[in-house]
Amino acid sequence: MRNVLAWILRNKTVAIVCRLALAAIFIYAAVGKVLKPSDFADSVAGFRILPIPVVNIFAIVLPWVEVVCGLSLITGVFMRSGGVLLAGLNIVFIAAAASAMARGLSIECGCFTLSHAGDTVGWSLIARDVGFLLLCLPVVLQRRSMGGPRYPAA
Amino acid sequence: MPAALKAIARVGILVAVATVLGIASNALRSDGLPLIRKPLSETRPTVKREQLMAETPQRKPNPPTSEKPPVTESLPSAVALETPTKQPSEPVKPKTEVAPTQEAKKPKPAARKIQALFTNLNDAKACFDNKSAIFLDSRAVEDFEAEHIAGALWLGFESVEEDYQKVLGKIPKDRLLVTYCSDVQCASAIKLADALVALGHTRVVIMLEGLPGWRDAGYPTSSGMKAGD
Repeated sequence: MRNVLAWILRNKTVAIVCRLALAAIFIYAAVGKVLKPSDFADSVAGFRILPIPVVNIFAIVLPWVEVVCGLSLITGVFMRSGGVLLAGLNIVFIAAAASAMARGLSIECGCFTLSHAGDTVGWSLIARDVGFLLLCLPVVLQRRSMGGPRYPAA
Repeated sequence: MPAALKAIARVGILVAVATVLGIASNALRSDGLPLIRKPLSETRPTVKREQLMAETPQRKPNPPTSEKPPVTESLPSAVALETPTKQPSEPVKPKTEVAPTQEAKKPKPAARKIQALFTNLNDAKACFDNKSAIFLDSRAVEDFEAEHIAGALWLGFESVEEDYQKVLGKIPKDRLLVTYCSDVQCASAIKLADALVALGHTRVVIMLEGLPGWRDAGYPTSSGMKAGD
């Protein structure tokens, strides 16, 4: 079992598929937030986690973090750092969703404000974010030699 | 440089690039957000109680047309529900003789932003007690079903165009409407109220305390779905 996991995490094809999937997901997620920053800021405020004055700056910057990380995964520039950052974001999203659920908040997460698909905070959202987090692992754990244009394959 | 530090530096570079892009794109937008957010309660005025109550028409189910029509804009224009530049067509009421003449003396504020105003919990309860207002719940329909202000109707702001006719189609445009959602940081009641003002309603207020404030004050709630939902 351990060998299978190690093979999955180190497999070059798996890593590439995960990279591209993550990039597509997070760039798509960012588009809606960039187009409707006001809606996204309202969603962020709905979590009642951040102090109100910093909600807007968070809502302005976060979508671009997703875009930049997505581009880094596509281009291979700072790719592992992009993967680490996305993994960190997913951990934050999971913690925020769990916190909202624990406080009994019934809110929209604002994750994909273009589609509103599965946008309500709940177990399905946490499961989805855990899935995204798992997608980050092969990207973060892969060998440098698999990194992309900057690290030609051995 | 150790690998860990290098990785942290690279993460920092990515975040810095994203921050610059985000702030720059926000600055270039016509609808860009202010970098410092204000609490929702500070974003627009609150209607004073006497203004809300004094001009609340005592409603009957079908007011006879011979009766003097209620003042169409009963929230005083000073605190204004800023009147839409074009009044929506009212099936019953002719535009009152009084209001238009008063209006005619003033220059029309052509491009003023149309928005609903806030009310507070106690004033909303007073309107509830004298049955002068319709309460509209803008939370998720499941939340409405679980608990809502007694007698409230559900109308989500995202589906307001589709559900409007069903929920409020026969309600006069000058009927007092009170929107609410979860609490003081919930924006959907504000969006619903503004959407209703845009649809021609002249007396829409937002109860920012929402259902939790109402419930905590010991005011009546109920559960299940209502007609019009």
